[in-house]
Amino acid sequence: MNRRSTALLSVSLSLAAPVHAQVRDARPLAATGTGTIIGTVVTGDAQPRPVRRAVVTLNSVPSLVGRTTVTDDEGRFTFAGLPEARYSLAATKRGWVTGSYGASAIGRPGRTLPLAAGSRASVTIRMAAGAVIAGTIVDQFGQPLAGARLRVMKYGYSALTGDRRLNQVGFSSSEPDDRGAYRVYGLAPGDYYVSVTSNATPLASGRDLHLTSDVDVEDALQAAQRADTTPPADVAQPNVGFAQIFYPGTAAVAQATPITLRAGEERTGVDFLVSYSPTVHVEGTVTSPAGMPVAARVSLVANDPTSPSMGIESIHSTTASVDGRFAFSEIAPGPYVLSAHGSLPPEAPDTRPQVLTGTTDLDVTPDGANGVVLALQPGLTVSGVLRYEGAAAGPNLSSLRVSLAAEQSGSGVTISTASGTTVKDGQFTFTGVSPGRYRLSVGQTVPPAPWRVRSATMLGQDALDLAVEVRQNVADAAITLSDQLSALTGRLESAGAGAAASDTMVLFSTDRAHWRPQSRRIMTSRVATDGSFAFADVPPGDYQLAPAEDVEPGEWFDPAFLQRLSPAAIHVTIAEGENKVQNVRLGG
Amino acid sequence: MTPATLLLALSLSLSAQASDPATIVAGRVVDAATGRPVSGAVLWTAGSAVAEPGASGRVRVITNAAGRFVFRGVAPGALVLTAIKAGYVNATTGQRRAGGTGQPLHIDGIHRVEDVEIRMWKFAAVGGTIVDEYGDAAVSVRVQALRRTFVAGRARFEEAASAVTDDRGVYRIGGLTPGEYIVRIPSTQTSVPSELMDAFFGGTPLPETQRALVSREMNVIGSVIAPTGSGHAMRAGNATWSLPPGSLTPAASGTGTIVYPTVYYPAAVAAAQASVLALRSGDERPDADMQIRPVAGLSVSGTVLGPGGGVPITAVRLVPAQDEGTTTPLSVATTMTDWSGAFTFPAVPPGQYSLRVVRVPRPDPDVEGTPRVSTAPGGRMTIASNAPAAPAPPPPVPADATLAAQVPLSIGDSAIDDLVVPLAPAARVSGRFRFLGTRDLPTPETIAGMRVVLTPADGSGIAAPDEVARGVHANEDGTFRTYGFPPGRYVLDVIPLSSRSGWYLETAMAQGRDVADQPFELTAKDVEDVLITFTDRPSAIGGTVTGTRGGDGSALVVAFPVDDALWTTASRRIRGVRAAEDGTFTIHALPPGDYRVAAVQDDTVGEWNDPALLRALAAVGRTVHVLEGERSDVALRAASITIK
Repeated sequence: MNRRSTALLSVSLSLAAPVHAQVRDARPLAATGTGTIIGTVVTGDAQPRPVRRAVVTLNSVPSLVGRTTVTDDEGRFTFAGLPEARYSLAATKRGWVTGSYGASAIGRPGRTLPLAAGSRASVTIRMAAGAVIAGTIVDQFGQPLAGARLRVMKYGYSALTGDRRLNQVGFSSSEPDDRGAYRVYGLAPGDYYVSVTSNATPLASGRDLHLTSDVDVEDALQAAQRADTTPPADVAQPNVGFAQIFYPGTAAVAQATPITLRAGEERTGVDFLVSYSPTVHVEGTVTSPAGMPVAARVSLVANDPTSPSMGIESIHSTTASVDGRFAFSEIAPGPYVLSAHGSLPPEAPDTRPQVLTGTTDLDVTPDGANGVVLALQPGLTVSGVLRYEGAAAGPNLSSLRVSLAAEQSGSGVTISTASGTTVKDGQFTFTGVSPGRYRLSVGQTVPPAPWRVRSATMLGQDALDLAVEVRQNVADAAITLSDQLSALTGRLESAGAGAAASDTMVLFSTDRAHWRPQSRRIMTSRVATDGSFAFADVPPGDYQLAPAEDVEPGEWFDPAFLQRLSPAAIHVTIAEGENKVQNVRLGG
Repeated sequence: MTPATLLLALSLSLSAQASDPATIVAGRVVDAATGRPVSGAVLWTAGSAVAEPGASGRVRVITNAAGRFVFRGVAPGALVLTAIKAGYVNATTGQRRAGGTGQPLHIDGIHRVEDVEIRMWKFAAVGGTIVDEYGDAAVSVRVQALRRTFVAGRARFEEAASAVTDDRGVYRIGGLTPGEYIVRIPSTQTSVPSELMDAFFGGTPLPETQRALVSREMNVIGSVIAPTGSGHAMRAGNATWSLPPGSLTPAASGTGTIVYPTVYYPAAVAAAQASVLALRSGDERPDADMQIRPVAGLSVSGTVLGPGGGVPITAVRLVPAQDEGTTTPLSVATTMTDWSGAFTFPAVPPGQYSLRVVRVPRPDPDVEGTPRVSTAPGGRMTIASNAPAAPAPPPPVPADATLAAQVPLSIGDSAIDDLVVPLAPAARVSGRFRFLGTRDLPTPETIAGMRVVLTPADGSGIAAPDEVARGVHANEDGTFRTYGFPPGRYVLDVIPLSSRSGWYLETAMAQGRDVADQPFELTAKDVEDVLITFTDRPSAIGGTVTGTRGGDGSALVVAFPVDDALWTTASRRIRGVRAAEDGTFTIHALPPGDYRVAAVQDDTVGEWNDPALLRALAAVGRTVHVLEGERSDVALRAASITIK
């Protein structure tokens, strides 16, 4: 990855707006105007050809204007009646890599285009045909696999945990067909990992699966021909299942071979073999307080931090019986998290049922796990008030959704009550919350509304940027909304005509406690073609501002990345309600 | 083993008296066409021989390289083995053709079974390349294979399987059981009034109940709910196109909008002109190529009016005027009315259509839910509303009338902008169940689980919301009242036809006729006092099919009414059963009447509903008079027939 060396960075400060509290214009951007953007979508090769029937989307930044159209036979498109704003454009077509206006290369994010009122801009968007991976997957007998499921993955930053792990990419493909052949298309250039899992019979699942061995058959034939009544010998019948196998044929990610694709490359012959591996049982009981019977749903989720983020087939679920017993079969040995939830009938007709939850780590050995006991505890209640403080008319509080989000543990497996709940008369309540660390906030509307969350507290502590430990009922949660919005805009100037300007500006809190995934105090802005950038709705506080280039999505939440940016960053303080302007000059 | 030894061994085991519970069942799976073993097939067991929950026979077994399998610890009883393998039709013991009826194994607990053979037949597959009007590959386009079946006495095509084209435009639909097929690229346009799509993403959000109402109806018509800048929703004036993945994208041309209509292989616009492909087991047809060509679409807009004025938030469907010959009608275009009852189809190809509206009275959607838990990839489990509870009972049918309209529409070369669609109350069918007999009556829960269903008598399927199509549940006291249905000829059905407690549908009397078997006409007037009678003394036809060496277990026995006027409706009176290994058979719960019964080799017939087959069988069958509550027995020999 290309990191710009930012040893020399000179800064020029120019404040165009007075530094005092300012209420941002509460009227949203008008949806229509007098500007026009026309353009053509072409292929990215040496002799560009028009791309017909590409779907072109236009979105203003911030997103108040959104349009979609389709290119004509010459690859042309038009968006008319546009208000003054910064716009991003993208072109998609099935089987093609999405092209973004202003992108430096295929599959890279694009730049925004500033459009003044009444003006007309002409653009070109380049697209490339997607790359292809194709091959055949068979079992150890050389036969196609029943119920095979293909996954194509790429390293990237996990939105949940903030670390770099294999994430499944969305792709267009056919699942391995009944001959075992598959074809994945529309891929952007990059390194890919291909894996296969299988559910051998979706019907009758939950039963053990045995592989017939030759010993088994020999013994059976002899026993049948003996025609006497001696009981047949006990032939060991090991349970098997399908582990996830990575190309070229290993269960360990570390030994998997990535497939490196260039733009539009077709890679065929990506064949591999999937074989059965031993599996075991997990059995146990779920207990509830005071021994009350509760219909519990029990889940077993693989908890291996080194393995890629899992698909839905790595989550095993079952319903416990009336006496609390549960059993899982076809489990591969390894570390898991066992969790259960159930509900008791409501005490009074109009109240909600009480939710019980429980969770524990479970290491499943090659002998299986028996007699596991999981105790369910009543969920906690978190309740509080939602207020709006501001001069302008506030939002209708009952149309908002309050969210309680659990903090992710490092392994990526967390039981949480990230429920949304609505507000009645300014009050909100969450029930069935399992003990853990949580943050409290209010969901944003689309388009963004002219108010923001100023603060959210639980148990007297900040719950907006930092997580609060919840171990007992919380009654003092408080969320305050305000119409005092702050923003930061500026221009990135590069000295020297030939210097390539960075394409992203990163704004991040000076307080390292805020350097965590999905933090609202880490923001990025694409740099427009004229060097301008904008951060809307910045929480007031102390920040560092630095340019960056070629950033992977989600990489900005990585503390190591922010650490690398810090030396070259400039310090910016943003007050409540301030529209700060900060220009940054690069170069020496 | 010499016969003497065998005799000795047998007498030894017989004198042992107790059966051996640890019976072994072994055998092999072979390819029916080549006789070669099928390795890697997965088998599982069912039946009384493995009914005990802890039975060691309740496992799944994978065949080895020689196609062999072993089940240990099987108790005496009936054993049903099912084998599955990629590329093959699921198979069981005793089948004589792909997907045919099998025969269970009888485990006596004395002998170990070592020679079970399960034959598997390969699926057929059809594929090809789809290109657009420029000859470029049409990518991610859904292609369907429809299989010929017989409904109400005529051939109709039923959706069987589908596949999606890849980046080369190549598709392959596997998993087809032998039969006759047509192939098509279905095209359905979905659009919603722009103001409704904007309401989800605009600056002023709708109140929760209104939003829930709109999103529920958008789900009914299959519309995405997405912002217009996402690429999945495209605004075209008053209407916003919904562009889900796999849809054929409309485009602007110089003069208007062009759309891609449904096309049948090789290049037909209707099923009647499509090429029929006869596919046998293992057939591969890789050359079903097609080209999609756009046509100019015209805008059609109007208002749906009900008794109280404009009818808001209601689905409006356009289906081809002519019966397509399929079992469900394919909507050409679907939209919904806005708050004032107005609707717009942005671009409809010229042609003859039937515009259909069915407005079902529904209670307001429930906005506040109780906590629920879901588990997401990455192991993150979120608790957001309901914990597991018993499934909610079906909501009662509201007293308000269903409003419906069916308006013929002809689109030529100009747009239509002043259509008025008046809805009229649709007729409902109501009545009650009656149980005549000595058995215990079914419990109220069982009765409430039974549905009364009306389907178009010609088998064309109904273009209406689920509540209408799926039928209505009876009340616990045995009364029922359906939603309204547009005028037409219908057949009445009760699902399930018989209850586990031993009650069987006998007659459904409405206006003096038995409408359980014959279609009845529904006009604008409600049909009341329908009496659906169940009996606990069903009639049956039984007997034995004999061959040259005793019972003929390879036969299929078909019973059908002598009166061919009764061949046109529900399959209650046309029945086929496979003879057991010893040639015996029983056809249960036949309504009383005069029947022809005939036996043929199971592997010679496909659909026993085919009127041509029934005519051929009538010539060789025997007549049986089935009386109420009685079982008639008949002796048959398997006949060979020619179907013209």
